[in-house]
Amino acid sequence: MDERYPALAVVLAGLASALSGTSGVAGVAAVVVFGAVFLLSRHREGRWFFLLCAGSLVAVAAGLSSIFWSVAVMLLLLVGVEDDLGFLKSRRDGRTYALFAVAAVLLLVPLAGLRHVPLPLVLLLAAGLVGAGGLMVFWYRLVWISQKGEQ
Amino acid sequence: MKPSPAAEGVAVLAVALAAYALIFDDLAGLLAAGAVLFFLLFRGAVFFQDFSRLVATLSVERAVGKRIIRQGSLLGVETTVSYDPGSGLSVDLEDLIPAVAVAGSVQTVRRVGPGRVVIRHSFRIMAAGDTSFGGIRIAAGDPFFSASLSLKKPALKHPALRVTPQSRPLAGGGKGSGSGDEEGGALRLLRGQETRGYREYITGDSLEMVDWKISAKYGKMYVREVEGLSGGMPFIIVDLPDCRDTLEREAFDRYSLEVNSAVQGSFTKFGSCPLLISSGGDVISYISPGAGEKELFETLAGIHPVERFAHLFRYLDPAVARARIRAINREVERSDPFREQLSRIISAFGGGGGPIMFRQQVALAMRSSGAASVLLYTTAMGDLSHIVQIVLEAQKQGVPIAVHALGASGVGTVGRMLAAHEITAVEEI
Repeated sequence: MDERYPALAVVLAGLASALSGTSGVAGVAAVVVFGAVFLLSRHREGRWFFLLCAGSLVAVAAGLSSIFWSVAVMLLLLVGVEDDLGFLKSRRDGRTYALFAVAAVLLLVPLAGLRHVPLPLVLLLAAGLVGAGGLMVFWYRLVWISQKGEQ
Repeated sequence: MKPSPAAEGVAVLAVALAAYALIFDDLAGLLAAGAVLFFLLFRGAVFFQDFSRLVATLSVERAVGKRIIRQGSLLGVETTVSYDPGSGLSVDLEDLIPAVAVAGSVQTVRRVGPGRVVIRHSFRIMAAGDTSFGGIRIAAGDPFFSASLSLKKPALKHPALRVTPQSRPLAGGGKGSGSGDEEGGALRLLRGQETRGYREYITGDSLEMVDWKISAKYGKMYVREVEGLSGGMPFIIVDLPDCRDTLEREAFDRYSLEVNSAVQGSFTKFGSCPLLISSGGDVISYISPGAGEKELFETLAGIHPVERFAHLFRYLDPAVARARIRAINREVERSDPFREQLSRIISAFGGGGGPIMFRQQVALAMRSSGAASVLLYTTAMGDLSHIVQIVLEAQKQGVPIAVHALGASGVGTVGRMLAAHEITAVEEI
């Protein structure tokens, strides 16, 4: 996939959020910053990270209009990251990412119903810990199974 | 499973977004942080799944020249590893040699196709008996995560190898020329050594080591196992040479083999073998008596010349200093200002102060080992002041010590150095 497509999608989403809601100038400014980073980082190694950082600015600005725009911009940004790092080589990879996107929306959107940050932050940290803990359990299970020949 | 710098960068971005969200109470910032966090978890889960699939599809074929080999001989091996190449991870593989082996060459890895790798290497097995390969170490990574794992399933450890012992010829003994208790020959394998145990004959054992009386009594062939010193379990101290010493590979292999044989003999007989590995005034590792065979031989497999950081040639031991002062006083009868001045100088530099750290460590290890004797192995290269410290400590604790030095010149050097400390016999390796 051409790396310009995800970036263009981020720009369009950023502009749409700016024009449709209250983000206005802030949204447009964030899009301009993102575009500048996109152009200036063209031949730099690790460009995906610069775009992710600048794109997060667009996502935060888009959140002034609606937090759904934030989630959409972040998911588009992450498609760009996946593509840039070669994670989207097959259809299976694409389906896996789509599954992640759906799961992320289902997990993040309920948080939008809460008005202030501290409680959602705690919930997010708890979800992150549960995820990381589960991953560690599976990892050490694999280590244990691999070492069984030691007996 | 470890995150790469890229994953750490993404995590920092998530933290920054969360901090912004908390400070400005902006839910959009929090959702952006959450998306980044979930993305990291998602990548971790995908990496784990790919890695698991890689591990599950891994198979090994090994081509070895011989399956029955002599202890200490070089064995070449060609290992072909196949795995599912569809994971997209970058994969590095290492063939794990048996726990009782030392590497003879660097492993050369050649990719012969997608998901197919040929590893060529060689090693020496230092302990006799049946053994097998250690398995395969796999390291894989993607831009966000990397992991390495030693796979030790039985299917990855074949083929089994039988290692026949290195025979030790007995000069003039064991020919059946003697009688009664002297059957083994009047000349012992090593001076001061006695036969303290027996084990079943393994193919390749020298017939000179067979104890015919015991064998006839039990209807099975038994061989004698010599012990460094009479008594119980020995405490083995291995002195590694400095990497700057010009020690030939063949000589070091001989040294390594001798040490391995001694440790194996002790472990076979007593079920444990306290082991201290040092180089100069540095204690490199200590294996306590309760350690298992695997830990013991893995430690031994890693012995090689190291860089010495602590040299004790400037250290004057208080006991040595006192002995020198006594010697001066004995030799010079009349009052002599030079004698008194020399005594004062020696007292000033060596008479006071506690023992050095190395001596304390050796003392502690020796005491906690509960060993009945000490076997000290040294290549006798470079400064040997630490050898004196070990001998002095053994004498202080009342533990008999036997010193083994590499080569005739090593025996001479160590013998001269220890002559003042009542160690007259140094065995040659």
